[in-house]
Amino acid sequence: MKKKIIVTLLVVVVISVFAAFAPAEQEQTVKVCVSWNEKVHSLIQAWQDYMEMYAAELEPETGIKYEWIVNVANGDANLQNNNIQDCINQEVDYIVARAQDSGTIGAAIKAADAAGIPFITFDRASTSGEPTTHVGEDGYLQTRTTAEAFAALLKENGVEGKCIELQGDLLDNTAVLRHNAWKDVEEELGAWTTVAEVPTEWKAEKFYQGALNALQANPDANCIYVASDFAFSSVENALSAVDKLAPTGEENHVWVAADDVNPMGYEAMKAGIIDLGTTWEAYSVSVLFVDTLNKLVKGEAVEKEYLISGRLATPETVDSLEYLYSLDPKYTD
Amino acid sequence: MTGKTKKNFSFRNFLFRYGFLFVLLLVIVYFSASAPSFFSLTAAISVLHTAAPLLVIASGLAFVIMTGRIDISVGSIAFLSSAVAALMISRYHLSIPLAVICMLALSCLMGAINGFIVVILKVNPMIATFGTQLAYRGIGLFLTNSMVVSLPRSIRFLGNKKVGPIYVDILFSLFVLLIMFLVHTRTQIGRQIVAIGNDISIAEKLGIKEKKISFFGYLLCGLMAGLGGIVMTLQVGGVTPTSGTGYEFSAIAMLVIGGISLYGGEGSILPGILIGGITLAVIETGLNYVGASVYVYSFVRGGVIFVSMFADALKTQIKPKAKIIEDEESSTILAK
Amino acid sequence: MTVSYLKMEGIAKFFPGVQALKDVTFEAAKGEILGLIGANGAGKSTLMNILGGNLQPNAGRILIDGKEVCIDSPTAAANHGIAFVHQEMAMLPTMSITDTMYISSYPYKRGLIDYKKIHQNCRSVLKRLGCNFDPREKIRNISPGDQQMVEIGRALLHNPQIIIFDEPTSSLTLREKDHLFDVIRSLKNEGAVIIYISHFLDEVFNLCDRVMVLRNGETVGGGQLSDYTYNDIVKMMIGSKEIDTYYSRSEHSTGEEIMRVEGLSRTGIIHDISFSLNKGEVLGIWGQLGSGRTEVARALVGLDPIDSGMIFINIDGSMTPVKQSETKKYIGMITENRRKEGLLLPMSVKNNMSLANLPKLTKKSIPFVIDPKLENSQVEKFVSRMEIKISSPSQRVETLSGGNQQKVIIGRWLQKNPLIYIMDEPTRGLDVGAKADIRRIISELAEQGAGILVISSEIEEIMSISDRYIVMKRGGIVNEFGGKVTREELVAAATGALTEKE
Repeated sequence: MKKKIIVTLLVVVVISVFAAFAPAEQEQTVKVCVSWNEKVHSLIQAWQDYMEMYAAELEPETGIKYEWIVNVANGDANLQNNNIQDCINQEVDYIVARAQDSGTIGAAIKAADAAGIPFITFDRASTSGEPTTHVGEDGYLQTRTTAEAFAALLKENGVEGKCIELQGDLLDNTAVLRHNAWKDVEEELGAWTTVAEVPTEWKAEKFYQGALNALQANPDANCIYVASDFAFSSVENALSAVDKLAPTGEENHVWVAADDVNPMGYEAMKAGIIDLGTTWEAYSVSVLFVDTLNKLVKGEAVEKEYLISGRLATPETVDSLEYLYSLDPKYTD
Repeated sequence: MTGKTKKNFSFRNFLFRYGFLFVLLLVIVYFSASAPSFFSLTAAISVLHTAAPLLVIASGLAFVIMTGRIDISVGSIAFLSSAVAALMISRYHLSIPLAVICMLALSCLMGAINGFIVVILKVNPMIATFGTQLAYRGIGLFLTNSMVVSLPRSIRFLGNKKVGPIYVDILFSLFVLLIMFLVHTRTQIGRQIVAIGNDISIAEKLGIKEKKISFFGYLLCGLMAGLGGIVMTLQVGGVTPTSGTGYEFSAIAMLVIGGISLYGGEGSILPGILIGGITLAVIETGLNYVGASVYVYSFVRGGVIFVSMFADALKTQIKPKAKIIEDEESSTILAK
Repeated sequence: MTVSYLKMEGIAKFFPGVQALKDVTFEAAKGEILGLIGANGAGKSTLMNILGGNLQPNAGRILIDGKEVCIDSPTAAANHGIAFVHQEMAMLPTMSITDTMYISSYPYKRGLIDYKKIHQNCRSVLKRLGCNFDPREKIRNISPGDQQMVEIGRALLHNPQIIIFDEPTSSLTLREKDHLFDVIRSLKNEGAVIIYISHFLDEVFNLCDRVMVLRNGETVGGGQLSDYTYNDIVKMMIGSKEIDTYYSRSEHSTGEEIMRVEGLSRTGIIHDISFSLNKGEVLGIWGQLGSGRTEVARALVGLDPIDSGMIFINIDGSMTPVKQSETKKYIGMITENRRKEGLLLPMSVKNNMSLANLPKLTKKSIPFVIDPKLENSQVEKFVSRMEIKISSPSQRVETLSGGNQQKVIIGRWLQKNPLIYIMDEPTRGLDVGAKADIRRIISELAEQGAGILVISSEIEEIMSISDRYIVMKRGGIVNEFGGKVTREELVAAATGALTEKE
C-alpha cells in the first residue's frame, strides 16, 4: 500500500514538473515540405539555404521554428506529385513547390487542399490550379528588363540586331514568360529581329548544338538571347566553334543578353562575353517566401501572389549588386 | 528454282536494310529545300559533330543489344563518369590524364555492375539497367550536389577543336566506330556476341562461354558510355545534372534505325550505326536550321523512334518464313 | 574382320536413380559404318555423349588406335579426332556458314580473324560434301538439308577419324536424305569410323555395315547387318514385347460407308480428291512429303479452306453433306505436332484429358460445376484402357514421354467417341514400343467400328495397319490399292514410277 502511494506521488510530481516547464517553451514547430522539381543548378540550393538561414535568423523574434522536409523530383513531374503526396501523408503543415510542369502541379495542389494543407508555389506559377499563394520572381518582368536594356544597348552601338533566341523548356511557365517578353519587346522597340528560335529543354547539350547550328545557319546573326545562363559554357563553346567568341569591343563580338547571372554567366559577364542580363534572385525571393510563410503561420491574410523582379546586371555593375548568390563561393564551384 | 526464291528474299532484305537510307535522303532533300544553307559542308560537319557523342555511346551499346539484351543506363554512366572527372579536374585540381583514366575505369566498373546483375544474377536487363540508371545518376547528383560542374577554361574548348574544317571529336568517333566495327566483325568475341544474340542455348552448345562474353558486352558498353561522356562534356564545357538524360533512347533509336535488331543477332556497326546516327542528327540539326517550332521536335523524334521500332518488329515477323523446298526429283531413292 | 580403331570397354554410367549404361563394350573399325540402334532410353545417346566428351563414364575405358585415352571434354574429344553431328542442329541463322562452323575456334592473323583462310577451308569442306554454295551465305537463306551439311561440315573441319551421327535425318526431305547417305558413304570410303544412331530401321539397313543394338543400357546383340532381317533387329530392340503386335496387320471386317469425299480441291495445293471410308476400316494415305496428304487431312477438318468439293458423313444411317466447318464434330484429328495442337504441357494429365469434354462431366444437380468423382473415374478408365504410364492423373503432361503424350491426346478424343479419326503421322518421334502401342490402339478403334484415316511417311508403319490405301502425288490421288498391295507397288505409285510404265 505504501509503495503504491509513493509511486502515485512520484508520477504526480513528474507530471507537474513537465507542466511547469512546457509553457516556457513558447516555440512552435512548423513542418514545411519543400518540393524541388530538380536540382539542375546551384540556384535551387541557394534558395533552400537562404530560406533556412533567414528563417533561423527570424526564429528568436517570431518564435516559429521550421522543420524543413526537402524532396527533389529529378525533373519528373509525376515523381514530384508523388513526393508531394508523401508530404500530405506525413501531415506536414505547409507545402511549397517549384513545379516541374506548371500544367500538372494542379493535381498536387488539389490533393493538398483536400487535406487542408496550405500550398505555396515557388518561382514557377501553376497554370492548372489555384495555390494558397505564389512567391517568385516574375519571368516576364525579368526578361522585359533585359530586353529593353538590350534594345537600348544595340541602338547605342548602332547595331541592327539579328538575334538567335535560345529558349528554355517550354513546359516551364517561366520559360514561356521569358519567351513572350522577348517577343513583345522585339515588336515594340524593333531593335532586332529574331532569326532563329532554338528549344533547349534546359539541356546543356541542346544549348551547344542548337546555338552552333543556328549560328551556322545564320552567319549574319549578331546577337543572342539566352534564356538562362546556367550552362553558358556550352554557348561559349558554340561561339568559339564559329570563331565568334570575343569580348565586347572586338570586331567579331556577338552581342549577348543572358538572364539569371548564374555562376557561369557571372564569369562570362566578367569576361565581357555577356553584355547584360537580369538576376534571378535567390536571397530576396527566399526572404519574401519566409515572410509570406510567417504570415500564414500567424494566420494573417495573404495576397494571391508575391512577385519581385530581378536587377539588371552589366559587366560594370554586377559586382556592386548585394546578396548575389552567384558571387557566393559556396555556389560558384 | 532456288535462284528465284533467293532473289525475292534478298530484295526484301535490301528494302529493310536500306529503307532508312531512302528516308534519310528524303529528309535531307526536304531540309535543303526549306533551308538552303542546310545543304553545305558546314552543315554536314555539324551533323556529324552533333552525332559524335552518341555514336560512341551507341557503338558500345550495340554489343549489348546484339546479344538480345538492353542497357538503358548508358546516359547515366556517361553523366556519372564525366561528373567525377570534371570534379577531379576543376575542384581537386588533379591532372587531366589521371582524371580520364579514373573516369574510364569507373565507366568500366559501372558496365561491369550492369553485367553482373543481368548476366550473373539473371535480372531482367530492362529492369536491372533501369535501376542502375537511377542509381548512377543519383550518385552523380550527390557528388556534384546537383550543380553544374564547369571545366577549367584551359580545356573547355577542346570540344570544338578542328583539324581543317573537321571537328576532332568527329574523327575520334569515327575512329571508335572503326575499332568497334573490327571488334564486331573480325574478332572471336564480336562474332560470339552475335551468336549469343541468335540463341543463347545454341551458342552455349557450340562451346561459347555465354556468360563471359555477355558480361564483356556490358563492360564494353560501359567503357564506350564513358568515352562518349568525354566527348559530350568537352562539347558543352561542363557537366550539368541533366547531362546524358535521354541518351539511352537516342542511342537505341540510332541502333534500330541503323538496322541493329532489338531482338539480337542482327545488324552492323558500319555502316549501321553511322546511318542511324546521321539520320537522327540530320533531323535534329535540320530542325534547328529551318527554325522549326519547339513542339515539332518531340513529335518528329517520337515518330522516328516509333517507325524504326515498328520496322524492326516487322523484320522479325518476316524472319521465320523459311524456304519451302519442293521435293521434285526425290523419286530417285524410292524407285530403287 | 578389320582391325578395330575404336574400342569402348565395360562402359557404365549411373544417373541418380537410373543405371543408364551397364557394362557396354563395342568396337568399330576404320572404313565401316556401325549402326547403333535401340528404343528411346536404351542408352544410345548416353554412350555417344561419353565418347563425345559431354559425359564421364563411371566405369570402363576407351581405346583409340590401341591406346587408352581420357575424354573429359568435347575439346578433348575433338583432339582425339572424334566429331559429333548432333540430332538438333546448332545453327546461327543471322550468321554466315563460315561463322557457324568456326564460332568457337577462329584462327587469327595479325590480331584479326583470318577470314580469307577460313572461307577457303569452309568452301573445300562444303565441296567435299557435294555442296557448292558460298560460305559467306547466311544460314537462314539455306534449306534445312543444306544446314545439315553445314553441321556435318563443322564436324569435318578438324579431320576427325571417328564421326558420330545422331539421328541426322529427322528434318530432311527424301532427296536430302539420299544426298546425306552418299556423303556418309564417301566419308567411310575415306577411312573414317562412322557411328550412325537411328531408330529408322530402313535407314540402318540401307546404310550400315554392322549393327549394335542396345536395350536398357545393355548390348543385346550385333554383328554384320547381312546376317539379320528386320524382324531380328526389332526383336532385339523391343525384347519381351510381342513381336506380332508390331508388324502384323490385323484383319478388320469393314462395314457400311461412313464418310465420302467428292472432288475436294484447293488451287495449287490439292485437286479433285475423292474417296470413301467405311466403318471399321483403316485407310492409309501414302505419299511423299509435300504430296498433299497432310493438306487433305487439314482440309477435311476445316483447318485449311477449300475451293470446291463435298464431304458426306453418315449421320444416323444416311449420308449427309456436312459443311467443312462442322466436320470437327464427327472427326477426331491426331497429329504429329502434339505440342502445337492441343496439349497443355504444364497442366496435368487429368486436365488435359477432360478439357475437351467438360460439359459431359458436370454434376447433374448443379449445372456448370464439374463432378470430380465422374471426372476421375472417366480419366482412370481411359488411362488404363490406353495403358498410359503415369504416376498419377495429376502428373504434368510435359514430364511424359512422347508416346504417352500422344496417348493422352487419343484418350481425349476417345471420350468424345467420334465416328472418324484422322491420324497424321501419329507415331512420329516415338520409340518402337510406343509405336506398337499406338498401332494397337488404332486397330482396336477400327474393330469398335470407327473409320480411320492414317497418314504416315514410314511405309512399314502404314502397311502394318492399313486395310486399304490411296496413294497421293503432287496434290492428287494417283492410285488406290487393296490390302494385298506390295511395298514396291506403293513406293512405285508414290514416286511416279508406276504411271510412267503405263
